[in-house]
Amino acid sequence: MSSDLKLEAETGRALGSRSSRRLRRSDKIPAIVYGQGSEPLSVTLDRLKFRAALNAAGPNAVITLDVDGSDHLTIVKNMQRDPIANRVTHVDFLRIDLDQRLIVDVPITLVGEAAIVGREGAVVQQQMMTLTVEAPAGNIPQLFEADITEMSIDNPVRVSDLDMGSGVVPQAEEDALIAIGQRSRAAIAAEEAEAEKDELQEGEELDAEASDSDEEASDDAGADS
Amino acid sequence: MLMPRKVRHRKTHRGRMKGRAKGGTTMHFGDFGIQALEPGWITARQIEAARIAMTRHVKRGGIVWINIFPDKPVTAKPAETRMGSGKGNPERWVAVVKPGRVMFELGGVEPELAHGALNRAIQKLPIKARIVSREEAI
Repeated sequence: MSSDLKLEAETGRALGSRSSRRLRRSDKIPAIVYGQGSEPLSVTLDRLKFRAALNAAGPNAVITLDVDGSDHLTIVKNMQRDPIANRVTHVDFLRIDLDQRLIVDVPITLVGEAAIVGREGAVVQQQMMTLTVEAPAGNIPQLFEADITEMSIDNPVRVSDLDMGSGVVPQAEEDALIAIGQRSRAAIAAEEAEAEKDELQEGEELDAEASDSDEEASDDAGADS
Repeated sequence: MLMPRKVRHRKTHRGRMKGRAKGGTTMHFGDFGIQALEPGWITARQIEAARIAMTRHVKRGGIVWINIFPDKPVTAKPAETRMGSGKGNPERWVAVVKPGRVMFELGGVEPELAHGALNRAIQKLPIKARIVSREEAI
């Protein structure tokens, strides 16, 4: 069994931080392959090839790792990054079986233009960036797309609104929030200012009516006398 | 301005700012953020100035998240005072920031507007910083 995505890895790297640092300097990534009861393997990857593969296939892609001629079916279990250089510094590969069910984090993206943004001056806020799902290894969704065009402040996008593939079971509650519409402070302030203005206008009108009625009353009184 | 409501010790040592940020290096809330590239003390005034710069540029819409909190008191002696007679009085509050720390996040606005707002906020900070986005590069 193999996947379309194939990466070459070499064994025989020296362990330890100093040799790993040297590897990274020569555009290689130290990695480890483990799982399925076999011995863990310390391997080296080419950074650019790994980047190209993962950018094309997504973070949960099934990768066939060619380690010195022997194929290992794997997924990326964990990736360590350098936050400043923004590079991957270490990768954990987990050996898998395509029939096996796995628990993975799948990224969520919002698609569409939310109508509430223009209509009510609201801001769309994504509450959940990734969704943990249990899925068969051969059918892991790479991305969930949440449609926000129809959402409103009372009707946010929930996990139940996502289109799960066959055999994919979310590990979160069905009513867990993915994206909500929130009134921005500016919109609330503008509304309050309008309400105040209306109140003032109403007050002025009432005063004007009251003064008119007083005048009429005094006129009437004058006529009687 | 941001400051602790209550502290156990009024005055603290200055401390060291070696190394990189241990946590808070990824985006959690917004679509764009400001990441520190140098260590430094960010005062409560600077945080507030950066926040105001962002919200004014965005005008309507958009949400700003501040991920740092000025919880460290900084003391200073009064002007024209002879040295000695103990540590000065607490003057301001600072947040200790190390390289890699995502200090502010901004969401709910278009990328061009967000970049404009974040650039204005970076100008208010005493350290080198850059704009980061949610999409991660490998």
